[in-house]
Amino acid sequence: MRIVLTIVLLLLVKSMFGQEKEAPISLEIKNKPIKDILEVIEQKSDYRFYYAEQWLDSTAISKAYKNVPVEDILKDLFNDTAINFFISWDNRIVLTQNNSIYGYLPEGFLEQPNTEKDEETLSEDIASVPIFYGKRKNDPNAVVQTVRIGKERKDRRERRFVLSGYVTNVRSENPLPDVAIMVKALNLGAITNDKGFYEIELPSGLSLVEISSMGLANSKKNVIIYNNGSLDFRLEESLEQLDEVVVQADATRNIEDASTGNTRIGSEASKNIPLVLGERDVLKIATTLPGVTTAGEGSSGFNVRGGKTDQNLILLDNAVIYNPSHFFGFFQAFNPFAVSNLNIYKGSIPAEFGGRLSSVFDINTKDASNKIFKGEVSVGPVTANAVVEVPIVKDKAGLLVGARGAYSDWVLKALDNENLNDSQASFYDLIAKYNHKINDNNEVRATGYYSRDIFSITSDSLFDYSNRLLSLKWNRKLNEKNTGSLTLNNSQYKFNIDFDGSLNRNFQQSFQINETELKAQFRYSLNESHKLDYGISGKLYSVLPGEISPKSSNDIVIPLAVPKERALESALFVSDNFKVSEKLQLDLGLRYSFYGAMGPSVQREYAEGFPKSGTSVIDTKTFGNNKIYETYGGPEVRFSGRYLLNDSLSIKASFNNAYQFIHTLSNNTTVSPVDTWKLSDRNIKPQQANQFSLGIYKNSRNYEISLEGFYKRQNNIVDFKTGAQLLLNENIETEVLQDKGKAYGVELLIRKNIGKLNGWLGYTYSRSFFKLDSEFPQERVNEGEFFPSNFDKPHDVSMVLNYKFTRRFSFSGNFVYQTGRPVTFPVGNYEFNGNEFVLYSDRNQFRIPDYYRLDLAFNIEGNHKIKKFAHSFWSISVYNVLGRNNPYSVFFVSQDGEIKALQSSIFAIPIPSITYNFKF
Amino acid sequence: MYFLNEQIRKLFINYLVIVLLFAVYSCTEPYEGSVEGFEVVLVVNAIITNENKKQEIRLTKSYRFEENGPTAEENAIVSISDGEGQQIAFEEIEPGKYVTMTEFAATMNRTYSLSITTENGRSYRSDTMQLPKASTTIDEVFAERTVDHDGVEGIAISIDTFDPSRGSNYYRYEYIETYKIIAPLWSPEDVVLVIQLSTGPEFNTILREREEHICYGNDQAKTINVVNTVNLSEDRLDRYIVRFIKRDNYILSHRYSILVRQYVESPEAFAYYEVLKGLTQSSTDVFSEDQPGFLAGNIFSLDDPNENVVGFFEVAAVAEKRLFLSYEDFFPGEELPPFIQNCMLTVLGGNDLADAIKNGTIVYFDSNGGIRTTSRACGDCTALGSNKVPDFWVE
Repeated sequence: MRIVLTIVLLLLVKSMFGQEKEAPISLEIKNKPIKDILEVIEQKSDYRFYYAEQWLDSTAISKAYKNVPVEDILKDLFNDTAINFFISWDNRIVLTQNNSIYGYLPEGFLEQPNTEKDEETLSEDIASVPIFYGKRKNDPNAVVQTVRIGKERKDRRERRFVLSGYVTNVRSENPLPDVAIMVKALNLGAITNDKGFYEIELPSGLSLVEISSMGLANSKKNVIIYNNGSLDFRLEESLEQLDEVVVQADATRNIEDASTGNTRIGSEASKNIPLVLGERDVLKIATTLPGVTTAGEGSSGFNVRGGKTDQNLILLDNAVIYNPSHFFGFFQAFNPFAVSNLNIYKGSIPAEFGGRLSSVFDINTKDASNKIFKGEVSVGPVTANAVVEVPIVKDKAGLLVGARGAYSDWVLKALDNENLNDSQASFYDLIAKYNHKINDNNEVRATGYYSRDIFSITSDSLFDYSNRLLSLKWNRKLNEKNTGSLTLNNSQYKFNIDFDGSLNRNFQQSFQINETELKAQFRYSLNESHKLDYGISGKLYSVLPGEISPKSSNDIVIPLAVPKERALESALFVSDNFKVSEKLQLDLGLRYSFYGAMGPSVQREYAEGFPKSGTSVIDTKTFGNNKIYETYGGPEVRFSGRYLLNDSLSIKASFNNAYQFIHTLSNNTTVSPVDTWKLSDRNIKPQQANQFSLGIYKNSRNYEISLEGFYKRQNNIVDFKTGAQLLLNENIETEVLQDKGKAYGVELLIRKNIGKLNGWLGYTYSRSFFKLDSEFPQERVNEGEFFPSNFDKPHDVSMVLNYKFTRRFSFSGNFVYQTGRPVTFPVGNYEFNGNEFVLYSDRNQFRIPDYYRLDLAFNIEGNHKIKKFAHSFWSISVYNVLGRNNPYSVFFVSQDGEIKALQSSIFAIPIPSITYNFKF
Repeated sequence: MYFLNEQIRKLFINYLVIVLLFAVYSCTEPYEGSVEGFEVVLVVNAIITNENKKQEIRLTKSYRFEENGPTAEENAIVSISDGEGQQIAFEEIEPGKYVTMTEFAATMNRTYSLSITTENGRSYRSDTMQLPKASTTIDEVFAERTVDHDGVEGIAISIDTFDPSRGSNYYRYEYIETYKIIAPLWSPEDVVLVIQLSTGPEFNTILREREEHICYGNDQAKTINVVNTVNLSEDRLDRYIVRFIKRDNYILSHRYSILVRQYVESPEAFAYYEVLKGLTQSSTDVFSEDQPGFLAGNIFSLDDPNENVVGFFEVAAVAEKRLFLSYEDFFPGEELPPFIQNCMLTVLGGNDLADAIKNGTIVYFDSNGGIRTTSRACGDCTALGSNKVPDFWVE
């Protein structure tokens, strides 16, 4: 299985814009091979070609061009061949076979890859001055080996010399074809041929020659060339090339991106982090970042900057995924090998996203390779996982297929918890993605995904939940300045409870939510300082809030279905990335959200001045099919700005507001898989939030530091009366309390991306409060004052470190400390009805003990010598090395008239696990 | 592809070895942290029923974990207004226990509300409540030998009820059980300390003065048992289990009687009990916990809207039915359940015996090779119940 290389040349942005079209030329050729045509072009213009002869078809052709730009001639000549060409700003034309050389980077990849000013000494016209080289300060390439080629002769001051040689694999001694040899500073490049041979013309003097190829270790040499000569490169294999690119991209994003509070996590980058139960998990990594927390281990859902768990928009290839975890949050619900990266927006949320208050988790899957068959397999203590990438149409289309499952529920069986002895749990997920590049201007992607969990905690009930989504995206380049994309998504989440433990009251109960979204989005690069992004989206929700039916004809349970809810959520959005100056950049976004609750529906009207209950109903209105009976919405501002104080220091500020029309109904202190979703209607208002952020960002040579503060106010957050009945309740509003929330905090993140020791340290100080006030005592919590939310954890420290001993062995550690979360404790007893009960304190007046945990892992990259076909990776990790018994919850039970305080913890002892991955 | 398959096969073999070495652990254990922040609140137990009797209301206060039980709220002024201008007054007959001066029964279509003024002058008022149903009936009470969810054998006490008018819907069950106790090591005699001499104590045996052989123990429901028929096609409960007694429970040993009380409640009262049950009973799901908190009932302070009051003023229709059963009817010829404790004989003498008699921890059995004694519960049934035969008792 040959690895075909994709080459990304990091070239000056200048070449993109500074290129002037050469005067058109005319030529007429009869029955000559392409090579001759190229020679004619060289004669007629200033262009010079660089290529390997054997790439070119030797059949004779006839062509005639009249006043045609060279670029167009080449396009015509190489149409239908495997040859690509690249015209550099200094009139060199590099031909490549199979690969393209990009003179610019994909959008957003690297905002400003400006090379340092001191490299201007290597510019074109150095020939007439003596060749010299000296130590340059702060040169990151200082450790690069320097070679001298040829002998400097005073009498011979040619401008250019030819450097040639072979590139071979250091282990196998095989020649390496298609390897790029570059001098980045000068935009020079060449490619090795089948024999690993290359030839590149260099200006006299010092050049930094870099060899780069996917799957091989980079190599750099300072070449001081005095005459034509040869230089061979012997390369090591490396499969971590991608990591380094990812890290570099992040490095400049930190200070230069205009937005606050966003982070990108590459799936590959997460593989060295210690794992519990042996799975790589980008969502787990997310929780080590400041501002993102969970209620505890084994708890699904995230609290981002003091927001509730239902306030995160979690997208998998643009479609919403309602439950992103398997098995109560121990595993992410999507295949780690299929995931390319995760972008988290918790500060300024781009205007294209809406409908959730706190954050966007934008998960992108990998594009399948359209060149070779590849795969990745892993086996951990609980799950097995495989992904294959299959080229469908060579160079155009590929299909990625992944499957993953927990192959036994032995974990639960091993859990030493009497509550879980009768339990079973299993899950699986499937993913398929097809990407097809139709032509240079059009590409389509389609993703299909399904996940399912089945578990039972008690012997009489079986829970079953599943996510299903389908996403279609068509990207089209409309012209040089405009691109557009059209997406169509459908997501479904549902669960089922199967109760079978009674004589004649067995039942099946279900919930389902379905949404379909159509979104059109356009990008317009007006000029260098304005880039517009605008579009429209519409989403149709359909919720089956609850249905119950008897399990068999013996059961006397009456079938009941809470009527379906429907709603339309749409938005118009526009944003301008405005570069005011080199230093000041603004992201001005505006979104208008519109929400309409749709019939058929029956809505109650309650008497003013009375608590909402069955007795205060004054009217019941019935609305017909598709009738919009209630509307909400309004403008949402998405503003952020960045000011560069100097090359490595910037400040950013943002303001953000958002509406959320859909709410989870959960009476638990933590997320449960049987939480249902409710659409806003006449009696349940949308939630709303405003957030201000301000941050300072600093990049030094090895470190990247950010300090960000935020202040957030929320309105109409959804909470419930004590002991509310939420399932199968047709009148949820009688149980709902809606009021305010506020949160503030400071987040510090220090990252080190370079060197043997890398990782990050995050510290967050933040508070999160809710207030539930009402004129009626039964609708008031804690006397209507602000109280700490269930996830108010003021201090949160996480440290992730990775140390590479050698290329093969690395060691990583992960430390977490968090203030214990607030809980409601009993403060006394009372006797009622002849029995003893506990009297609870005000809500969240106490805290469980602080949480801390240390995980360690040792990772071994496979040896390449033994088997060439596969690259293996072992990870041996220990979760909770300190054996800290972190209470997950503290609860009180009344047993035989006595009150007992109990604490439950999930992993109270060190948990070792071992995982084996391999790629081919 | 051969290599690949080979590699995967090896991998699984390795993997299986690894799995066996691996163990996961989760646990529930006593919480070691401290819990402080006691609050005194008024606790109101108030059920007015359709039975014509002196209706009873109990007022207590919340108490600390380390305290044994509640203190009574004494000297309060308690009354009920019936919505037609009539006040029904209560008098305190023992600390915290208030009863109506005259007998009365709640009737349909009246709105009742409770007023309380405590000794320290604070006033409380309940929401107005109505009797949900004029009367209710238990059609039958059954006892059958069966197994519970955990597969343990025992006796299930269940009921049938049916309301063809579909007006009941919300049921709550309580029971009072009474059971005959026969002290297994009873003797007609007892030992007494005659005199303490310098050589040691002198003992004598006398005939026991009171019934200590056969007694009657009683107990009541310890859990809240609520059930509704709202989602059922009929307002009917068939063989609904109100009590399950494991067969190794000593209360089944001889003769057992249960009085089942069925309350038909208002939806509000039902919801209160249901939530109260959810708040105190252990969740079976370790991964999610219901949000606990103070549960407001329908009684509020008139002086301070933020004052918490526990309890619910309830107006309910009641029916009751009694059932007797004997162990032999269900487990003929089978061994009796073990006694509540292991009964052994101990030879005692001297000061040890004198101390034990003084403390009342032992009773006399016989003088076979010295004075043989046994623990109180084994030889004196009054340690576990009353020696008076209940009025309703039928052998």
